[in-house]
Amino acid sequence: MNALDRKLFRDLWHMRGQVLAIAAVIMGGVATMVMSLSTYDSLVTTRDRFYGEYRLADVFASLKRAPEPVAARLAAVPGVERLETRVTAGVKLEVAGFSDPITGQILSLPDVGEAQLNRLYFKRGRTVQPWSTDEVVLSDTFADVHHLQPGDTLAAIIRGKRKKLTVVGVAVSPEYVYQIAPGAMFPDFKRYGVLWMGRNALGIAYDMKGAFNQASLTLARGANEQDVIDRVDAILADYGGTGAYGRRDQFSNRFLSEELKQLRTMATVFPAIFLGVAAFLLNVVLSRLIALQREQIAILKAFGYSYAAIGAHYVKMVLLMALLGVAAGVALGAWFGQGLSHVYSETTFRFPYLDYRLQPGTVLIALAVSALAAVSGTLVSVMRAVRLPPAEGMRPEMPASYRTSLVERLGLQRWLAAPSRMILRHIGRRPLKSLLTVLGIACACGLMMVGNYQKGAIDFMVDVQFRQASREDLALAFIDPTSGRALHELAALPGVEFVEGYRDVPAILRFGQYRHRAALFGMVANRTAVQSFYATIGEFILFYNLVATVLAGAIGFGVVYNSARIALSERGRELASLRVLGFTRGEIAYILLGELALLTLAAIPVGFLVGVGLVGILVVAFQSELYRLPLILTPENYAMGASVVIVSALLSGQALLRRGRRFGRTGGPRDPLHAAGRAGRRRRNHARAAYRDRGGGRQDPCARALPRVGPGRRLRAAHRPQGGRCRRRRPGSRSDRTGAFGRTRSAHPRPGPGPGQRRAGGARGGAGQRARRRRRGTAGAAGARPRGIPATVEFRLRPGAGYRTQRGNPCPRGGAGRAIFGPGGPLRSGKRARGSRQHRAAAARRRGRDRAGEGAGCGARPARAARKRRGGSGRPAPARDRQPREPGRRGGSAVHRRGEDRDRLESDSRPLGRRPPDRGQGARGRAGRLYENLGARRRGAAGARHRRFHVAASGVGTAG
Amino acid sequence: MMARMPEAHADAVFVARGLTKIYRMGEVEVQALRGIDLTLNRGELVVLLGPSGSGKSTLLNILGGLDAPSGGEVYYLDHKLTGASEAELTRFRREHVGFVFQFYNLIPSLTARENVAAVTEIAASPMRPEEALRLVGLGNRLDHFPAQLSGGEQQRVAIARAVAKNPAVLLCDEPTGALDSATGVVVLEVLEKVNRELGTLTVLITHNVGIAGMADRVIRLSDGQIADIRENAEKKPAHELAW
Repeated sequence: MNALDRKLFRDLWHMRGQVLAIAAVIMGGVATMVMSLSTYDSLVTTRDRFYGEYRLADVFASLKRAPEPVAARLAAVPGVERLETRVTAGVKLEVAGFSDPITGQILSLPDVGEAQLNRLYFKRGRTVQPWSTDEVVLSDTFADVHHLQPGDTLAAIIRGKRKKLTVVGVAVSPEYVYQIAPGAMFPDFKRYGVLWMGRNALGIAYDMKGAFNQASLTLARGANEQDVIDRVDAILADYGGTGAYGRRDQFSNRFLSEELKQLRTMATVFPAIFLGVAAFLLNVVLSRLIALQREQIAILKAFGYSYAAIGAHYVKMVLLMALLGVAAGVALGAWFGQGLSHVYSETTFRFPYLDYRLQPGTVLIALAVSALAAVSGTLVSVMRAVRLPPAEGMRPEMPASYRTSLVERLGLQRWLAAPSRMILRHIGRRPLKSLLTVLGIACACGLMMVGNYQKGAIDFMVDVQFRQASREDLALAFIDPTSGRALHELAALPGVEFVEGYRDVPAILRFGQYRHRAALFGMVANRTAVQSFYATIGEFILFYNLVATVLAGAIGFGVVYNSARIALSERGRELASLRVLGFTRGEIAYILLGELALLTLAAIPVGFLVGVGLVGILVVAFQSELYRLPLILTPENYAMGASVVIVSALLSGQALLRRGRRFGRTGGPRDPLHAAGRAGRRRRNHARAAYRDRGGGRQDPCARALPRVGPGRRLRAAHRPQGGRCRRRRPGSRSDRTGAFGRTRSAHPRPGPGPGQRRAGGARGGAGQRARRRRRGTAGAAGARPRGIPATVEFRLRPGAGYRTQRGNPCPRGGAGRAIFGPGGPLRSGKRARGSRQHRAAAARRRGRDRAGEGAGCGARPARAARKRRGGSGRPAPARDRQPREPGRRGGSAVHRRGEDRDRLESDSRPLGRRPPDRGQGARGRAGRLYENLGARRRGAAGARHRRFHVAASGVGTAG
Repeated sequence: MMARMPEAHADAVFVARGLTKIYRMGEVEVQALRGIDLTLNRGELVVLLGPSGSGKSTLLNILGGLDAPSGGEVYYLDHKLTGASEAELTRFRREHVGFVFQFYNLIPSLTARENVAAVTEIAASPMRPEEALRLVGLGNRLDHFPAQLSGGEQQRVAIARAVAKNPAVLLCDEPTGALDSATGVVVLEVLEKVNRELGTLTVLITHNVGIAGMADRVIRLSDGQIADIRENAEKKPAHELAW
């Protein structure tokens, strides 16, 4: 691996958050593509194999009745290869334990020899015995839902006569892969079944002995299907032929073809959206990376790296990100694909086998399309890197040019504070980028709506179909056309309110060269049908919802998180400068997140439009002659779309704020794209090692951290919190964040930057240097701290001081608190940010008790004593020497004050002498947070002599 | 790129005649160089001295093939640099020039050794990266990342990176600009050693007059022109320098 490749991998690792977010979006696209294409491939392969092996006929012809010799005439039609006749009829079935009416289709099987066409695949049992009269083979769907096994019986009403039938086999037929009652919208396996019976028995039952009412035939190679159909129709015209039709119009096959068409649409529409968004994200991230690496690019060029090598470097980076997404997408897509195939084979299509197979071609297509999208999205950025003249790259980038925003130009500027103007100008500086961000977020909203739209549409269809169109409670079908008198007879039945008759006939619609077999007509509708319908499609809807939520979430988070990270990267320094100028954390968050929020809010209505558009595209793409989903979007759909966007934005905002916490502490956040990564870790380890070498973090952390009581005396074990047991906590862990002592980090002082923590503007040099400085009391940023700025001190109280721990538990063996000391004594002390919930609760608990340990009074006396000891007047220091009061201190929110406290503590507590390392190494139990202080040792623990507080031990001192 | 060099000393490495450079920054034109005539010879250690904005870095960039002049001609040996294509300039830099910059410009994601290797990998007859780092006294810091090195160490890595390909020319743009004087002297010692032991023409930009003592020749630039050229009768060793 050459040096550039190493750089490549490390760069990718450093910006892994963004890489993952982009990969997630690519994954979404690839997953849908792989899912759809692989399911498509599997279904097509399975279908072709099944049709081939079980000889599905090419042409089907139904007629009223024809004597068997007509078959010979049909077989003689030029182009017919093999012909088979059979008897088929509608039948009403009765299954023990199931009271609803069941309709079915019964077909004949030849008594002599095996069927030549439309053969059955037997899952269980066997075919009917020749000349048997009561044996039937059941379709597997019907048998499965009714738990019918070979040997079981069921009853059939054949031409008005009830006949007991014995099940001998359970089979799947290529003719009934999609098994649906004529006129029904969705399969209902419980109420519709297909049966096969011996030809002789069925012929007798239906008065078809020596006759047939259906013919199936296969075509010879090169035969013209339409020609054959025309000739067959001509022959059967005299026998009540209803018109022959090809396999294309065969009911089951047609549904299957439509479904396959939808899968293909899905394999193009969704991946196109995802990969478009991914290309945009890659463009944004790479542009930023290249802007940050200007100097590196320039230096590589200065040393003679060719432009092509630089270009290839960044293209490789993009391709690796894409590859990650493709790998994850293929895995997820294969998983989804298996799920979808399973759903298909369980709910709709019945194949004897369904081999899910992920073709290498599908993976290659996904790879090629993703790579193409990724590279085309980043081409401009890469070219910028390639074209960057090396001499120019060495110079700092020109400051970004801003101008007043449209809102301001409209004269509304006086309503806008500076932060709001900054937000608007930043959005306006790159309108295209802002627009694309909005579009990207809108896509998430739209996708979520697409994922959920089916339910609303189907509800609507059900309502129209079952509640508005088919309003009958009972439907009755006659085998042959019957006289209108039957209607009157039915109307006369007790309980019948209204009767309506209809007649349906098959028809062929012709227009010019086009011909079309009109759909047959007929209804079976009642409440149970609706229920069964939902049961059937419920799994489908659930599956699509799951997929849509995962994918929309991926895209939403990908776009929002990346936009936010880029914003932080671009503006980190600027925002940190504002923080130095006195902007509060909240105000900074407003500037940073306000832009994000504005774009997100703008994206929601756009997202609704995108959603409607996408649903419209899908409605058109998915519509077939068999059914068409209406474009119905419910308020629920809109709510789901908006919520996925809002949740993604909130999560991203939170992730961003966590990063942004560095503000003010280091004078500028580490650039997100320049995160120290391994280098930083090594540096930290190095520093920790140095710290350990100096004797830090070796012995019992309690012993080390426990303060001294008078010179040279350690606290007795009895005074140790929790009997001297020291709990180890991992910094950054939950217990560290919430703290054994207090709720928030801000509630207790955190030491300044630990060894190895980066400190911009702080002292340079290795850990050794820092350690030396620290020993001199001038370490790091604190070394640069002007005298007179207060330091923080933690103190500990003896039992009986009326003190509670910060969790509010009485502390039987002493307690702890904190005071902030100025040059002339404590300025303020307290355990919690005043005004916080914890603070108020604690105050309430203390009310009516000895108020010895409370709040500001806590540090006042020792402080005065300390000042006097130092020869001061005992009066507080002049105001200018005191803690600088930021605006928020006076009336800002508690949150603000908390943050402010922490900043100060972080930057001020640096000289507090030895303390546990910042991460990992030292335990920071309750005692661990009391830091020995150089000043404390020097002055012999001033607080220890303080009478009122009985401070058993204390680290007290000022920085000055 | 082959061209006849104007009459010059046989040892001449760079010959520049009437160099001008004008930058356009928005609508403002900045004349960085106003007719520079210059000859730099093999094995020399030349210090380019001048205040900020005098055109030192622009001149260095043009000599190093990083930038093209607006007017005039530059020759490197018998190659004419002015008018050369980007690919030719890239090859020129790759084969003949080493750069050292004020802010080290190391690649932060690569270790010291890898930073040097990034250059040796594309050079024709380089030293081994370890050898180059040992030359600058960093044999024990091979696997440290830039962030783990002090400023002086980083600059020495940058020098190792520049000399590792055995360039004919070493161009240093304020190599001690970001360093304290003690560390600066260490860096200058390394440059001196490289110049002495490898015979590399070393051009060193500075606005620090104290450094001029170690040069064979001191060229003073002012406002885009050469104010004077002075030859040091007696070179001071780097360790005697102070500022």
